[in-house]
Amino acid sequence: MNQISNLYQKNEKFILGSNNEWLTNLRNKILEKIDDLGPPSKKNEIWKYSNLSHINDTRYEPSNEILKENETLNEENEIDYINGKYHITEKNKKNLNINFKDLGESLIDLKNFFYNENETQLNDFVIDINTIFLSDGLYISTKENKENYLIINYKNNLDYITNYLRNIIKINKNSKLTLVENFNYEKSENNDLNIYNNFILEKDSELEHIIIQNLNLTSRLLYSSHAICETNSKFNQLSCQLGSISAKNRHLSNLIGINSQANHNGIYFGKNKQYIDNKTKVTHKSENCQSNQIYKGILNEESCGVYLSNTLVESQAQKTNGYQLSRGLLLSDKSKLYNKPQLKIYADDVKCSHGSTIGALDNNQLYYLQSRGLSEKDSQKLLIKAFCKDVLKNINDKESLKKIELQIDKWLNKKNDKQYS
Amino acid sequence: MPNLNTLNNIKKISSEKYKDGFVTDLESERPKKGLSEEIIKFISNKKNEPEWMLNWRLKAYEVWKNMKEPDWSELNYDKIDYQDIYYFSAPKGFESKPKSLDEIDPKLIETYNKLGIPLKEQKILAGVAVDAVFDSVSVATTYREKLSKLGIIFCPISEAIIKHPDLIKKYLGTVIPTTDHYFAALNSAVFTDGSFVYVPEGVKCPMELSTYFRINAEETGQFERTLIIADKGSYVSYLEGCTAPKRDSNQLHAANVELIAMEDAEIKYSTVQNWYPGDENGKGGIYNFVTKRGICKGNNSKISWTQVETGSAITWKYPSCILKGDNSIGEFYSVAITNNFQQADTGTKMIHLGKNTKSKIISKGISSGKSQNTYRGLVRFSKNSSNSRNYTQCDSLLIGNKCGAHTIPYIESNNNSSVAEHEASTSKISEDQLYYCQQRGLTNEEAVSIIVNGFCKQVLQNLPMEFAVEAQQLVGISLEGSVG
Amino acid sequence: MLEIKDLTVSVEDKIILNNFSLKINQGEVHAIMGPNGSGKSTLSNVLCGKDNYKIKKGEIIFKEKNIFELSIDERAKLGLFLAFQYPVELPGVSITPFLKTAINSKLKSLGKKEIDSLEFAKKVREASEYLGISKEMLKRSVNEGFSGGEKKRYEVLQMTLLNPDLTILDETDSGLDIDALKTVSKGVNRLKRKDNSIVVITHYQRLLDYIIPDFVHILVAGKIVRSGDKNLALELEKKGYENII
Repeated sequence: MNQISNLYQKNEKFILGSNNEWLTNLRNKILEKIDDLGPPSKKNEIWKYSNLSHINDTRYEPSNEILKENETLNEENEIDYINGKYHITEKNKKNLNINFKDLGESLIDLKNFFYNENETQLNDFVIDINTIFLSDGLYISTKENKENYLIINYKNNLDYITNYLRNIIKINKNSKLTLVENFNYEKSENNDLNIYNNFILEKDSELEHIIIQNLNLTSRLLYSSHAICETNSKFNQLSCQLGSISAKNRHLSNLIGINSQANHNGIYFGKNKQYIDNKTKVTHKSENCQSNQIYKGILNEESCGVYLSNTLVESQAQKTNGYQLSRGLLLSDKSKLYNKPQLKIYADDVKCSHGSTIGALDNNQLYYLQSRGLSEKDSQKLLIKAFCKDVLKNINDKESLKKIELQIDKWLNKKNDKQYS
Repeated sequence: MPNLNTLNNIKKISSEKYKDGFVTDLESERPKKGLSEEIIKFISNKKNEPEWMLNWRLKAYEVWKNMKEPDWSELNYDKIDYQDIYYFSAPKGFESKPKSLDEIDPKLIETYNKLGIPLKEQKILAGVAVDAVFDSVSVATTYREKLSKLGIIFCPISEAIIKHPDLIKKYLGTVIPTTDHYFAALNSAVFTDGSFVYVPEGVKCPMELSTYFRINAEETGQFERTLIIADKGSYVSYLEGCTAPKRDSNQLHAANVELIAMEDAEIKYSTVQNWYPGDENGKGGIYNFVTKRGICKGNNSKISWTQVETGSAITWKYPSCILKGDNSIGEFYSVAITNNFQQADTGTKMIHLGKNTKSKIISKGISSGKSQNTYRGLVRFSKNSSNSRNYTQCDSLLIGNKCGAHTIPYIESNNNSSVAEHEASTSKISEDQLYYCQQRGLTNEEAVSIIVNGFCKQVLQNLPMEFAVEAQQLVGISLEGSVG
Repeated sequence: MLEIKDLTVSVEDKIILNNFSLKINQGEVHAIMGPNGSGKSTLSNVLCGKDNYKIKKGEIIFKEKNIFELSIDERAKLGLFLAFQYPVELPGVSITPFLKTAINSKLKSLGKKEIDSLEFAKKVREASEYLGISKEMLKRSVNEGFSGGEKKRYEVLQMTLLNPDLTILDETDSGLDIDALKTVSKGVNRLKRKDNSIVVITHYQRLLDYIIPDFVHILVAGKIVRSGDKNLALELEKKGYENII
């Protein structure tokens, strides 16, 4: 018996859906599978650049604190997860355009999202662990033909706890949602998070999804998202990664309806000994779809970045336009970056391309700015901000952009004393 | 859209198109099938090898027995039964290598003439020295005398083991260690022949050196081993060509090629690979599982790989450069064309170890029919490879929607003063380009061929002159039957 | 040389050419003028055999042959040449092997032997000098990175070497400054003989100052609405399309 089975059996009664038969069966099946396959190892291509000491260190330490109702001052379009439990206020319930349901209570309708039989689902160790230890989650759906804004704050005020959360979010026909997820509890330490979001974009719908991650540098994050895009839908995502000692982010989307579009944008900042591992993958399953995967990384001190991108075009997905760009700035001689921009293409009428560069700040540009009277530090900051710009310009939500720019400034200024090159 | 009639005609011709697919009716000598210590001893004995060589082989065999065949590629092939292969085959009468061409069976000479590789020196393309390897033995090496006046050694590796043991002992297996991987170990245990080149200090080899590999016997694996050493300040350009008869069964070709470039030396290695690709239903063809690796050992050295891969049922190889010397340069130029059910998984590894090292990768993949064509490559800057640069360009062209084109690059930077640049694109031949060419009177097939040749130009122009034309024609032929 | 009878062509159910008829004899230069969207480009593409066009009725007789059944390259080999409005780039393909393949393909279809390389090189050199095409330009890939004027000169160079019976110049004047226009026209005029014909498709009159037409036709909504001599073009220039029909 492995460590995960032990943990599970010890805590089974605290875990969400433990009285649900199919979910329990599924969990047992997964445990068997984990027993069979053993822990993820570098020999397996998908874990090649992963921080395995993080992934193979599974903890289960839920918080036992009970939430008090109406404690937060959130607006109606802002909800919280506090210490791994969602917190929905009366105000939230007044928001008639968004419907919130407890995931545990909706399990009966959501079986398909858990069973990974469907090839469109992510199916790997990180998700398996999420399924086993799932502690809370929400089923969120928008009202048809409406435009909406939702903020989810993940807050922990305890140290050494674990969060296993899952949200299933459905953007109904012709509706539009801007979803902002904030991971902004810099103060609590040594938390482990495993979060999985499922998005369904129905016909003519639009989702702009923004993640601002600024966890404490002792906490660890496993974040996965999976989007299914139907006809004429548009998924636009930005992941901004600043915190966490080890973060593994995977964002996958399936373009199943014609004329659908998925954009995965990302910027990530590393310092200290941070390990930031990002992956995006778009599967084109239908004609006339478009995808963009654009990530930029700025790595300082002894941080290590990973970015794997992938465009998969199935043979029926003619007239595909797929673009990938990965750029990395290595600011210190101990920083590292590994890129793997993949194209897997089975249709001929496509235009797919990717570009990737890794290097330091351009000395000529630095020199030019300094010759105009800027200090070396200011020149560097200016160039780094410019570097982020063509990712940020892809995002429409002005509020989030402001927040992100503020965080970037903070990141840049914290390093005042040190030089970047 | 291409005219349907021409399409059908072309499809008809294509199956007859592998012009090198004939079999030479020669009696050959083979031990029994399968791999064992006994067989290795047999091979070693056949080659009159000294004991140290036999021991080297047996050690490799021990290593191989404990290894597993790699399965990480997405190549699709039936499991190879290593006990169902002949590991040695020689045309009869090759107990000892013939001293002159007069002693060679005229049928053999005829075979090479048919392939356009004449073995008589006076008839040979000016400036190309040829070593011809037929199944497991080298049958003739030309221009040896002229080369030896310059101190250049160009001979079968089996001969080098006997005549130049010091060089072999010093270098064999230093670039591709026996333990490197499954096929490297296999080759080390059973390699039969191949070429050996040594260019002494300061010598620029005045002619192209060339090896021509031919698999003739059935159910025979070809395990050749090539070792090229360019000493300080020397230069050599080497070209290999490959063909095999049409057969319904698959045959394994697992070669090891090692290149060593000392200070200020340059090695240019070109391959035109046209092994039998199998028929239009995917039956038969060569499994081309080859390990090629060069080391730029000295400062300012350079290794350049150019490959045109049009044949083989499966091509699985990554000619690589270890850039150890400061200021050393590695280059990889590749055209891989797959048609029908062919599979290619090829690319390179550029391992930057020295300072100011540079690498350049230009890869052009063309997939058609029901084939799968993958570029897989690694660029790695290590901690000490400061101020190094890489430029990679991978372009894929798809013809039809039953094939696949894949790009899987790994880019690892552990050094912030180095710059890696990578660009890749996948597209099809545009309708406008076809229309334009056809309006000028080119047939659909001519138009495709000329556009694809243009697409490959950056690579083809790196081939030695004598072979560039041949390669261009090969590009056209390989695609016939694919247009649609 | 060419006779188009009652040609009706549609694209995606939209009629572009409507009962279009035109007859061109040997040695004649015809200009077809028309506003945007009148069907000018459709006409040249249909003549050359590009697909995506649906021929509803009519016929095209070129050199006594109904050419509907012929593929694009077969029509080209028969002696039809289109100087494109927007010549496409062919990366990595240089002009010499390109034209040589084209010429040899034609010779082969006629059962003749291939062109002599030396003779061909001489012809290319002579023609490119006349058209002001530098040696450096000849080494580049066909049309790749060329300016508008360079592309058009390149088209005339190809026309010179392929020596067609019927040339269609599709908006050859677009994107040309006056010097380039003169060079290109000079190149075309040099090829004019008694036994070949030229169709000039243009929006403006100015090209016709240099390549003087025997006949001018005005094409509106897929039909020739007026025909005349070169003075019709001048009249059109003065009055505009709206007032002349």
